[in-house]
Amino acid sequence: MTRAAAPQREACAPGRAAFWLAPGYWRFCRARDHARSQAPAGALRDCLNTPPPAPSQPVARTRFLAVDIETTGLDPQRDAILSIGWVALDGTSIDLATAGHVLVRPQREVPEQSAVIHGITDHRAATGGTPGEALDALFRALDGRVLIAHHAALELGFLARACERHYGTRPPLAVVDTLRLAETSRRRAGRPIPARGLRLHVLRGEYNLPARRTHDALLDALGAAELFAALIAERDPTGELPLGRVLFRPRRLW
Amino acid sequence: MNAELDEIREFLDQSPDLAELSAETRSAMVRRLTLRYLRHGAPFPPEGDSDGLWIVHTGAIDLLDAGDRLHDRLGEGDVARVADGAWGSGVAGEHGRVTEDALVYHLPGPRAEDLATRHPELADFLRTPGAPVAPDGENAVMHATEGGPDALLTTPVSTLMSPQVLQGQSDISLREAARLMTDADVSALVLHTAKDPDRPAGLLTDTDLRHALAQDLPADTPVHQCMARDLVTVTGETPVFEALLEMARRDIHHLPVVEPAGGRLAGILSGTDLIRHQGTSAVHLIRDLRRAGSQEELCQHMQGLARLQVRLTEAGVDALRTAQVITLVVDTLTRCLIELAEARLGPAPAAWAWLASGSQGRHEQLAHTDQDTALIWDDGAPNDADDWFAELAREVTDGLDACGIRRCPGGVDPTHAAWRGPASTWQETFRRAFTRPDAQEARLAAHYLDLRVIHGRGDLFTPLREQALDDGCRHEAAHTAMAVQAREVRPPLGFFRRFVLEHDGEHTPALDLKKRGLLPVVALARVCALRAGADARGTLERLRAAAHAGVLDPDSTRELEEAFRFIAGVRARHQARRIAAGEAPDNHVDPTELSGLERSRLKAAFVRVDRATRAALGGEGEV
Repeated sequence: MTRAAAPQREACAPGRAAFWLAPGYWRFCRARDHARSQAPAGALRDCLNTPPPAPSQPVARTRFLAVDIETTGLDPQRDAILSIGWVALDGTSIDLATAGHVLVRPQREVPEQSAVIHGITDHRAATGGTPGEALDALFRALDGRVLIAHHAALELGFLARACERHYGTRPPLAVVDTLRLAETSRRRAGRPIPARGLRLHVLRGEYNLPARRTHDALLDALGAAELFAALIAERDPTGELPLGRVLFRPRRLW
Repeated sequence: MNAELDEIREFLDQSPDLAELSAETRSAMVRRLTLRYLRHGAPFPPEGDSDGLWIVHTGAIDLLDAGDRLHDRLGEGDVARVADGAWGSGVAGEHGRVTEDALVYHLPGPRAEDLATRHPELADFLRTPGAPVAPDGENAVMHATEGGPDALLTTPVSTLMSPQVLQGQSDISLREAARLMTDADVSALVLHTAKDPDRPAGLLTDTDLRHALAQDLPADTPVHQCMARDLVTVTGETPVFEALLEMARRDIHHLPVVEPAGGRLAGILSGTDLIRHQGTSAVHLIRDLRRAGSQEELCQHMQGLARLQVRLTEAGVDALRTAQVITLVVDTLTRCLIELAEARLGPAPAAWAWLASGSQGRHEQLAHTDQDTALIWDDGAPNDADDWFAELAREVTDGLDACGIRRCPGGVDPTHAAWRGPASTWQETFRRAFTRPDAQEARLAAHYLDLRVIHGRGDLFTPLREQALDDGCRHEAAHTAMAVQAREVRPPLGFFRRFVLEHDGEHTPALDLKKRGLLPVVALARVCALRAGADARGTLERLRAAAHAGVLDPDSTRELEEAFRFIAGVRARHQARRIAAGEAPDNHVDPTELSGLERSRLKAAFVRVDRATRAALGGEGEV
């Protein structure tokens, strides 16, 4: 995998156009430097060593990684990661050659209810790697890329918890949340948002994207990637939109 | 890393355009694809490295020419090849545009070439010119679905004939002949003269013996008084189909087979030989029609026409040959109805002829058809002759209608004054239509060129046709006007796109194969043959004549011929399916009854017709 071409600046530096988010960005950079100093040598440290992209950088020249995590439940404290799927984007072009999918061997039994949803049973899960191996693989893929997820808070919650356990630190991550992007786009257009109207498959339908099997980490990641491409195509056909305008900034992390 | 992208592979497997690749190649493609989302109004191919293969998953992309006219439309599962940043045939001004938000897969050029080193078939697939269609490699499929060279009725007579022929001298008695035939248990005896024993001189059949008995001829009458002379013969290489037509045309059941050189007897082909190989029902149907004594009987026999078409189609007979047989049946029916009408109306007041135009005139008729007919009579007819002919026209058209050949919705039949008249009136009409026609006259001229004499005095019509061909060939205005007509009917490329969108909905659009698929070729062939001054009526004959005269280039001709055959085949099979299901045959194909591959071939055929039409007739405003 080639190294990120875009970020030319040393470490963190906000671009001219992103003055308005500079305080948050500086906080983000400080937290990131702190996490790097605490991270053990390996995938996470390597990932944090690559400077994050500047918020002024156009989306079209930014590299992304759409990620989906399937879990046994919705509570990062209690529930476990079952599988992680991802696929990389250069700008808005999705590259299937980079598609990745790892199963995680759970420390406890897979609850029956979640097995029904993901189709991941104990038997299949037993073929997976440890949570640490899965995280290493994910952070290798994430090197030099901005994370994309649909309803990112959930993914971030589980990632933070898992990183704390396995790396002893919570790395702040630059993230795009396709759910928030879609919500903004609807608010801006003055369109009402129906109940459940921001679910991935509902939004995909609105953008004429094909129906895909859901609750498969890789296909959901691909689904989010396609939705991201559609949202950007709608909002900015020229491709000059700065990254800072689409980043998701939950206060907790920044 | 074990990425499960089965969904993408399944999608590729369903694309008819990719069907010619092996499953391994398709599955190897998955991990080399990139995905793009193209917004409505965006150009296609998008900027940047766009070379390679593009596959549409959702949405629509149009290929437009310089005048923004639709040339092709890509929908779900369609494939476009982009080379040097361009999609299409390379004609200046051609450009693509996304007309509906689209999710597309892209196999970039370098990755495609890399993959092609391991999957050589991909290299061929990438090289195939002409963007969305694959003209090469599909001929095999087209021909295979047409029955191929093995098709039953293209086999030579020599494979079906009986080489052992019962022979005798023509001076034996009827009794001796009957005894010979009984002993050998055959229904025909070939007779020859004493001095030329190798050459057949006559044929005696069971029917002749029956006639002899009925006429009370003594049993010692020499056979040469009863035998059929002026024998119709075929050679061993004659296709069985031709022999069948010959038998049907002359209402006979035995054909002596002779050697091409010297005329020595080589065998005999009987109706029984053919029965063993189907297809004979045409002969029987025609015989039944000839023997019918009333319109009711004719109607009853004509019920078998649809079944005949199904049998021929199922036997793998080429759709165009099937149409020739059907035309022959309808010709016979017309003659029988005319004879019945004449018997009722009394003798005609003047020499006259019954003409057929449209598909019947071109020998391209199927069971689902309507009448296009005309009447012409001699100038020397008395003033009140029109009454008799109007009455005849009414009887015959009513009869045809009752027998399932529907009245022409466009009013092309001699119950309308415009379609019957003395030769001089016709001459006047033809002169106008083929020298300086307006739009309406150009439409009529197309009908006039397809006219063929079905019954009556052919010499009444011959000078008219010669004049029409001569005028039409020399007068620019005539073939320009007809070319404009021919251009009006464009193949429905957008249809396949709509189908993709709507096939899950309640309303499935139907495609009129005749109007949108066959008639554009028919019209084009007619104009080109006229320009070439060729005296041909069949569409393929016209195309060949035009190519021969240099009016059409050989490539276009070949493409048109193949497309015409293929569309005709799809139509014949569609009608056979409907008839077999007890439904009325029609030309409207419901896309869901086509296989993905057939649909893709059909689209390719339409694209060819469109391309050839534009090549031959030019764009708007010039011819």
